[in-house]
Amino acid sequence: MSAGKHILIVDDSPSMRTLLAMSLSAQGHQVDTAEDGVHGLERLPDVMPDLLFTDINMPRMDGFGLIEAVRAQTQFDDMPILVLSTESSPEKKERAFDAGASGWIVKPFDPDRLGAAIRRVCP
Amino acid sequence: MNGNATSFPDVVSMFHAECGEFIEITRAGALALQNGKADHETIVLMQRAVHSAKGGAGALGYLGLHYFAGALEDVLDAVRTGEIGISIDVTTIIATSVELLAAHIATAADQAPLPDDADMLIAIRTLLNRPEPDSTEDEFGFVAMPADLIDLDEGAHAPWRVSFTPSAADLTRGREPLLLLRELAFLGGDVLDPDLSALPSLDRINPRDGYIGWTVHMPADVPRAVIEECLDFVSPQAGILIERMAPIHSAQIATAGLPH
Repeated sequence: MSAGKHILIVDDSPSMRTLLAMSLSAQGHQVDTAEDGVHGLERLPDVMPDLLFTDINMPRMDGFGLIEAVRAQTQFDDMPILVLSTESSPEKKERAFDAGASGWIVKPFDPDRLGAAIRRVCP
Repeated sequence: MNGNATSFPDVVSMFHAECGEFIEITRAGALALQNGKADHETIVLMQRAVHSAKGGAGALGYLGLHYFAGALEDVLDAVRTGEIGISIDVTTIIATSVELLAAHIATAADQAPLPDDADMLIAIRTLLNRPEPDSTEDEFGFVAMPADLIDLDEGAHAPWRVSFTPSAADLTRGREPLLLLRELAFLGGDVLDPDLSALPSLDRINPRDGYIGWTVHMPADVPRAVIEECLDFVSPQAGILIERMAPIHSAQIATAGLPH
């Protein structure tokens, strides 16, 4: 169930990208990464992920900008986007959901909860 | 991941290299603040660096660093948003906090003992007009969650009734209520027949709206927090209801457990 998904991780921290990629790969997913919103947006048409994980606070284009830019492309209307951030303020969550996020997970993450979150948005 | 740094030596090395950059950025920013040369972008860069330090520290289990970086991030966020103005006091707090952050990073790298940041945390709370941490918080600010009192009485033996009616927002942008039902079933839930009472006549149906209500009976031993997390992505418009069903009394449980 929800195994073997193609996931794009967008996070400006190399260590966080690596940790997340390790965790998702261990769960049987194929993982690609991008270092900020601009890079993530560039990679999107090539990767065509089943699911996008994004951080919020990033240089060049933050997570909010990325989500809005992705949702502006109709081919990604239904692609699940999960925000993975240390932020947990209701205002920022609401802004992310308004922009088109499917869900919000607060870092640090637990692999089991990450897997459950993926199951909730990926068939 | 929320774990032990020793399990991920490569990631730890990567994180410490990043921390070197975070310290460079925050020290340069603190200096610019002290010289009156900091602008909005300076604060944004400092906040991003501190935010990244907080995230990595949390993931790798450096809780002292994680917590202190969070406090400094709050100060920088308040400056960035204009909640507080830049003054000598604020500049001093930021500059001192940057050095404490560096000390926490050195501690994480096993190069220094844990710094004493108690006075600075009090100064930050005062500056931001934040309350004292609750006595249930530990030294890192994590709150010991009180047990759900209802779980301590006979109600805890009663299964849960969970109901919600996905709204239009829950049917778009990668959200799919059936996946939530599947996850609840995965946790042992019994999905009942859907509630179609809100379904309008065919000529009044908006295909993009949600009309079908769902009720799921969950086993009594599933913690409420787990059910809530399962429904965390559901919009507030869905009217989520999580409640215990009629309790099964101790006598009934005892009787049920007797051999025939």
